[in-house]
Amino acid sequence: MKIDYQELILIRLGEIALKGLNRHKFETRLISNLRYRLRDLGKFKIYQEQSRVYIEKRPQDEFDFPTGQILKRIKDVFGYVSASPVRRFANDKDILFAQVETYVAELYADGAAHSFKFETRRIDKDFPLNSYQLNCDLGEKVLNAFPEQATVDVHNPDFLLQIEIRQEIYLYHEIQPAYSGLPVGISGTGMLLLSGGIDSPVAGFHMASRGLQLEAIYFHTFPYTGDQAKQKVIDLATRLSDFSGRLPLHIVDFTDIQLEINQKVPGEMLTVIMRRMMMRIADRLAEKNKINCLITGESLGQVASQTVDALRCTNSVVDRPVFRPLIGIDKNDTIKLAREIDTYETSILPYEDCCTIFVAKHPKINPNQLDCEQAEQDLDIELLVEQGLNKIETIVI
Amino acid sequence: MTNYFDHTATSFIEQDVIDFLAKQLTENNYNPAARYTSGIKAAASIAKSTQTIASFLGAKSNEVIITSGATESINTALKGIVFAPNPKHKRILTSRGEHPATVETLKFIELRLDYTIDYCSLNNNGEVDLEELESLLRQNQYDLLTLIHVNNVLGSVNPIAQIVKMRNQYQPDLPIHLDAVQSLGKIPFNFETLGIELASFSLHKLGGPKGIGILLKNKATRLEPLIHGGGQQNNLRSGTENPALVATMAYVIERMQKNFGQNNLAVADLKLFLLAQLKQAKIKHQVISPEDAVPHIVSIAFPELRAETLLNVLAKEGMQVSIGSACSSKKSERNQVLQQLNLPQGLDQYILRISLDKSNSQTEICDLVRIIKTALDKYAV
Repeated sequence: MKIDYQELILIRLGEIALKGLNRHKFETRLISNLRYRLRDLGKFKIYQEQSRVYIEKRPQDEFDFPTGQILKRIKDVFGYVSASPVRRFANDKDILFAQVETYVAELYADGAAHSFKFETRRIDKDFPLNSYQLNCDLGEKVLNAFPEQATVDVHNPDFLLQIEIRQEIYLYHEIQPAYSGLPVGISGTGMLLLSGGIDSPVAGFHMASRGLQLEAIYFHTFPYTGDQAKQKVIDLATRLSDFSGRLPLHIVDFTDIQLEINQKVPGEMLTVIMRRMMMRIADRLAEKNKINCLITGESLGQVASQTVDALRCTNSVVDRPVFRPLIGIDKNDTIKLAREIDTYETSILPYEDCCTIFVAKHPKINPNQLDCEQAEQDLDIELLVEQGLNKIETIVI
Repeated sequence: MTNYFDHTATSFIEQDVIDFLAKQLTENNYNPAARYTSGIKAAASIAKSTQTIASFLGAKSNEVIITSGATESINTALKGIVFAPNPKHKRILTSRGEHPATVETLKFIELRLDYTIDYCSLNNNGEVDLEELESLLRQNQYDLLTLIHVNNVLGSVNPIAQIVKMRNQYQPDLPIHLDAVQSLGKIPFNFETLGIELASFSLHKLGGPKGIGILLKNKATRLEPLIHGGGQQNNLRSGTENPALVATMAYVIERMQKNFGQNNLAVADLKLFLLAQLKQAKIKHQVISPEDAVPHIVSIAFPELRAETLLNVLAKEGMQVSIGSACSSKKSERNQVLQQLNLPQGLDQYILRISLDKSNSQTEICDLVRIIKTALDKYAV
């Protein structure tokens, strides 16, 4: 008997399924994001059906269905709970038994011992066997086929073989958990201040997981930071774009502004004034690009410019909300996530350290608004902001 | 290559060498272990090339081991001594002026093979401190003394003749290995006259391709091979020999020795020209390389601007130089040689290494100085 089945990927929706009238909007966005993430692997049929999304080969296409690669790619997409590679075939008892036989033979091909369990959902009540009978019959078949290797374990099996009997039958056992969250783009766009360090890419990841598309802004201080540092930021943005989709990266030539600050601002206030200037430029660019929030990787107390007082000083120059998803997160947890999302190794490349030239040995830890205004009194703020906005190179990733 | 001031990192290959290599690869690419005529010819070619190489280095043919480069040569020498059935004191003597190829190999030997490594300090000229070396040789028995000949950061030349004399006096059986990567072509080198037992070289520093080097080993010194296999090169370095590359090495070394005097005079002139230009442009600087260093390597501190910043400007303008210490807040990542010089705190991060070759022109040097001047004027803070 010819074993005929179709391979597809089943995607289980999480939070989206709970959305009321907007649900359709969320699903459409998720499908479009999945399609974008898979764009260079081929064209797929991606559609929604009964609180699920399916990815399958289009009937007319001849390419192999690269299941492993698809699973790896869609791991970076937000807005669903888990994915499984699935086999689908005709709703027929004999076909089901034959399919299970092939499927299980592949699982036991390594010759090692594995426990298993069947779990059946019989949505089509016309199927001749009920779930319990089916589980028992199939279990017996597997035990007979692999008497040396197969054992039943109903609590913690190595292979939890799942069968869903609908109009057609679905068979699978692997479940790849996803990052959940909301589909990118559903919450609008955020302007991420990306530095090249460990924190800001992770902050971008967090906010993208809540449905924000990203634009990123990086302040380049050439020659004090070299072009390797800039490339590092481009690399980080490229990795982030795997999660967040199309990502415009705005590189501001910040050198002249930095030198001006260095010349006219007292040493102990250098960092906070520099950050105020960066926030102003980011805010104005956000305004121009119709973006309604800023995102930073700040974490409370991590460095002198991230104390409550310093944050108030940097916050006070912008009127958009500033999202700081790492504000209460321990550095070790941030590093752990950075490793998991593959930004850590790039972030720790050593090219960034050199801007220490503009950092005071003992920066003011508790600056207030008045300190900032005094420190800025010799600066032509508006002119410097304009200067920054006029010296932007944008790379669309 | 123009505006290239990093000849210490690698030299470039001139057209006649490329032509020679191409011809060799076409005509002389047989397996020298093969029994048919072309194979026998390849073996003869290797023997002839090895003879040429040996004679230019003041060594005998059977003292030449062809390797993949200086790092392999150094690894073979250091680990080879340690693994060989020699008398074991489990102690090696070296200096604080060594290249990572030596430093890291010795760290491995120290950690994994339970050796003690003694590091002799450098004097303010970047040479081995002879008094300290003498005292160490008097106090301890060593399995090996390994030193760099010409320092790759400063261009300082270690006084090998004196060191050999000292060894002969205190521990006549102690083998000396010389990392001669930067000395060949810059100062006279003669294996026999120097009276050392081992020496490492790399061809890509001399105008040849990467991927080939030499380890010289005198007959009396016993080494355990690093690479085992088909037993080539008297079982000291297995792996099919490359007749085309070996012939090219002979060609490059011969060519280099012929032009030796003329090249070095030209480079010495260029160094003087560079220093005169810096002075004339009123650029604040401090020459870190000692006066009697080889003229090819000139380390200079520009105390107004970090070397990394200066390097970024120079790179943007197409100038290829390198820096002494990478800018890093971590001391462990700083250049260990520069740490030895009693420089003012942090000055090591302001040092540029300009390495010259006869192919550099005065015009290039003028451009370099002009860009340094502009960078300092604009970015010094």
